[in-house]
Amino acid sequence: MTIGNLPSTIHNRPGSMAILLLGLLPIPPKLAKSSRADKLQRLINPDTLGGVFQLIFAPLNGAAREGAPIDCADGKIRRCFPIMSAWILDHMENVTLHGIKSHACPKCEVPPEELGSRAGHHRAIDYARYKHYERENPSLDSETHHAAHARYTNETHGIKGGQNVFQGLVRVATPDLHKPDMLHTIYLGLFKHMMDWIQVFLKRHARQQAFDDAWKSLPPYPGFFVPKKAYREVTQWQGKEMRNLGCFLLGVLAVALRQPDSTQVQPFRCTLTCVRSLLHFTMMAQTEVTHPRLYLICKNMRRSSTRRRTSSWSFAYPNGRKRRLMSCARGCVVREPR
Amino acid sequence: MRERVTPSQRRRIRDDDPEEENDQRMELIHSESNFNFVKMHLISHFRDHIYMFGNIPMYSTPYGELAHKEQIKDGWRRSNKIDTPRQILSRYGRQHAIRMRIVNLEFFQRAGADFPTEVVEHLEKTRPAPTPPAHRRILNRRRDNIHDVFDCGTACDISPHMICRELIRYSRLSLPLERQLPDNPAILRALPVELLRQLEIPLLAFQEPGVYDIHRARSTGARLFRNQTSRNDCVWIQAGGENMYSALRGRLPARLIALFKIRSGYRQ
Repeated sequence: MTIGNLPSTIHNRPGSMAILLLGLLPIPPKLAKSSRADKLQRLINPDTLGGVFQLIFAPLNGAAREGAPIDCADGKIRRCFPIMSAWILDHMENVTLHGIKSHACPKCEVPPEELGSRAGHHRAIDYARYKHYERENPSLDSETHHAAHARYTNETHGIKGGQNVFQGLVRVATPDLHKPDMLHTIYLGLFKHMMDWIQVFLKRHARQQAFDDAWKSLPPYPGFFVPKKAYREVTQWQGKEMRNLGCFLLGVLAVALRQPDSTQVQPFRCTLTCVRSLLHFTMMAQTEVTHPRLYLICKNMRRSSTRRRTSSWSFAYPNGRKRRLMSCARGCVVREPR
Repeated sequence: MRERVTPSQRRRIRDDDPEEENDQRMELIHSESNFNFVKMHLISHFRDHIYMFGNIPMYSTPYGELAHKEQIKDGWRRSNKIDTPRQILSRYGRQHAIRMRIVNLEFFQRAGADFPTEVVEHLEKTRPAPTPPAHRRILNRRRDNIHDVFDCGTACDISPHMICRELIRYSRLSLPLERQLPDNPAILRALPVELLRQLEIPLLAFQEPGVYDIHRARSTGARLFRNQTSRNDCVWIQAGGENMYSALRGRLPARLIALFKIRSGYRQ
């Protein structure tokens, strides 16, 4: 546990002791799959977890409601309201703690078949509303409108009723606790997925050798880790290596896809656009955006009349022009000022 | 969503005509593949998050994963493996308390508070020694027949007056008192000079403390490098504070014209 008032340079440094260890969560025993004992254990697990978290959060609830006197660094004592605002986890841990199914989003009610589409906004998860439905319709078997709706929500959005450990925290909206995670979502998730597609694509167009040659002949550069093996020779990739891969992938791919014949022109162009979009997205997500700068960009955007759309993500560049890779890393992702 | 293909159908397609196999396989891949997985959806929340809270890396998991090692794995290793959770928790609590105490004492010491001598001694002992730079920048590949500023100026085609003027300015502004050069150009011209062609710059390797990569910046002047063209590398020069020139962080690009050492007495 740490507090959000600390600058990130301090609370991300291990030596500064900014992160406190509060407790260790129990790990349930592993039993033979689909045995009766295993089913029983699975029923017990969420309750145990809920009990542990109740114990941990009990002091926090009172303090968040009434405030608590806390010693500050300048020697004064202030009345502070500690409010839980983030819980940093990977997706599977989120699934356990939020009590959702593994194909569900901890933030919004997106049905599993729409995960890959960018069809608008989905309603945020709201446990109070589900509770309300349940209270009004004690037996979900009855075919009233609300009951049907409640069952629909629970089944399609993968929410298991009443198992979220963060439920009941004062002044906390549960979906807001979820934070985006670069390491698992982008580096180990989408980059990995993209590389699998690229390998198949290169094999189909017989460009694998050219790709590997370009990959291995990269020159050294400060802060850049030169790969010693081609992508397909390595069995496992770390997040750090994947991040490093993002620095040069586009260049290597562009070299490998040189001189296409007439049938290849269109697919090659599409591939490069897709890869570029994902890499740009990654770089922009990492950009440090401070408030004055954000304001400036919003102002520029209001002025700019043209907006570019690349592949499946839409970006608006501050001055409305297409930018090159390096300068893009200093751009921003906001689409429309609210 | 399209219908899923059963394993038996898949097998039949595979065992069919081998010439059509490839096309059918591709069709199969296209019909069965989609982008409906969780990570694809999660990135749709990134935009709002950046808009509200700024850049993402500080909310990502690597720091948590690192803390896992420090707080839990090390604690487990040090325990006697009986009732481990309690020992892990108490060990980290102890370590945290001691470290916070030391950090506080160091702060007050810097602020000018008086402590008993044993406390000061202890602080000195526990303070992690400032690690000496393991590598220095090394100049090598000396050029012959260069003895003073005048020779140096002729070799790299710069007027000796200008070199003297710049050296004096540099020594006044940037060098510490005990290493300053004489202000008189006449004395400066008599000092011995070595002209060199290579500067070895040690750089810390990517995320590996104590491991250095050596980068070689070369300046061959008008001479050819390996019988091809002359080579005068570009380097970054720290020209101001970290907050200057926005993303360049106070650094400016420059091209090396010459690398030389000047000695005044025993000093360089």
